[in-house]
Amino acid sequence: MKKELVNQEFPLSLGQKNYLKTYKIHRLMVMLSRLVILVAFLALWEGSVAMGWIDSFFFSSPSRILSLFLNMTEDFVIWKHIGITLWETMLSFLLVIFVSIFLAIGLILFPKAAEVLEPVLVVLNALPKSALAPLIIVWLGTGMKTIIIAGMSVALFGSIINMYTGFSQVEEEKIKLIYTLGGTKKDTLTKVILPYSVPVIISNMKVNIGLCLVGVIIGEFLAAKEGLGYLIIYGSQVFQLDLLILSIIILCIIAIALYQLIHLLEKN
Amino acid sequence: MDYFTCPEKKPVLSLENVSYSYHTLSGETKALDHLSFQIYPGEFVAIVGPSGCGKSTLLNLLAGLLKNQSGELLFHHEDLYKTVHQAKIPRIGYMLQHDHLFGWRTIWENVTLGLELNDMMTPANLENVSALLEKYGLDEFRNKKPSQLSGGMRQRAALIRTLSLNPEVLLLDEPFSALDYQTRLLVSSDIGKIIRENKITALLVTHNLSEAISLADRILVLTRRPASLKSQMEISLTITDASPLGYRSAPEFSEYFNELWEDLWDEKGIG
Repeated sequence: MKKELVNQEFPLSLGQKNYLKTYKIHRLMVMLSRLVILVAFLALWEGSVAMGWIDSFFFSSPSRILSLFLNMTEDFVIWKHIGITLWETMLSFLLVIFVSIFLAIGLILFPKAAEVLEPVLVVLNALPKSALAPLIIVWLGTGMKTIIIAGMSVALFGSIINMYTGFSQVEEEKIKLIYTLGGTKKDTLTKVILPYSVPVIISNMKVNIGLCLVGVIIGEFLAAKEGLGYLIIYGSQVFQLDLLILSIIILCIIAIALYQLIHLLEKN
Repeated sequence: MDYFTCPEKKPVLSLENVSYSYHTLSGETKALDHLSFQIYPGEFVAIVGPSGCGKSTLLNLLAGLLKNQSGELLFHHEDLYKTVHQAKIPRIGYMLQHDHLFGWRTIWENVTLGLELNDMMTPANLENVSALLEKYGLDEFRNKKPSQLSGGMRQRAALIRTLSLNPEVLLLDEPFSALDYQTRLLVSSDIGKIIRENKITALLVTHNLSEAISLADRILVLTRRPASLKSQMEISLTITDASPLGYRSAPEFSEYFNELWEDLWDEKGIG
């Protein structure tokens, strides 16, 4: 939308000026409303605790969460936990993308293998992936490797299926063109299927970054001594709700930031 | 150019009793049935027939994308499928129904795709493509994306992509059917001119009888599926104005048209 505003030719007609003015006011109203709702929510929360309507032991309060956050930034503890969760998420995300592109290419190149393996993929994708986490822990023990694998397990199978479906949706005629120009099967992959599937790959990345975060948090619940998932479980076990809610809020911010990162990648 | 009465000329393409069937669980579908004809060097031949008569199957066989099941399909007296698959560089060009220019490549990258695929990006070959772009009015668009070009320009770019490999024979599968009527007239005569200028043997499949008459030296009429040869007709127009409308106003035009129409009418259900 912004781009369109910049690209306008001058001078603008009166109608266009009015339209732009109305549009700007509309955007401003939306932003303001959102801000008002957020502030009102925080005020209500803080106020309810101050008035004793709800118990700060169970519900914490914005001011307590903020002061805890400031405390934890002083000794860098919170950054360490955030960093670990981010690192694990990014690693499992990158692995999911590479492994699923690689396997989807394999399925495209060997349609018979794809036919044989189809039920396996469908079952693994239908399975609630969090059920695999305990198994992974037994096999691999606790630690970062386990958590990265847990993160991958949530996203991988769906990603393979989506990539494969995307790759197979390339028009038959475009592939035929490559053959008529003397290309090989490999050319159909590198010159048509992969470039054609870039939007599919990116939309897959958007879904997968979120799923990997889910998997990493599940892994950290079960098998970690660090990370935001660990902080959440720790907070709930020792009834430190400030810590628990702070971690959830940070997770929200991370989730949005990661999504925006992929969005940025898509634009370029 | 009375080719089929002068047997001493050697055909480029020769079909002798070619049959082809598709098999599915629900049964067998015969697409071609003992189809025989010859194409001679430099000829422009059009193929018309009722829709769904197996013309695509025929083109796929001629392009070497399908292997013939029975009969003889020869390219310069050698088995076509084998020749195509042993050749380092494709000698039979194929222009598909849609331009299929790749949106992620510029026009230049699109028209040089064939050279790229065959490791033929030599300065001489690139110069040749450059000259084709210039000659056919696409030079200033070389760095544009296909979406920035009109339908007619895209079709010309697709033709240059095919010509970049200097094919001996060019197969055209209704390459103008996706264009609007006006563009279709202009582009088909443009492309006809380009093909003649480059002395390429061409085989055009079309539903459009006027197009066939105005472009071709000879027209083959196919029967409905399974396709065999119904009749063939030599076209020679006495015209002075070599434009799409000029061809259509030639005195013989309507005679040819009526004759073709009757042949096809026998076959019921023209497309």
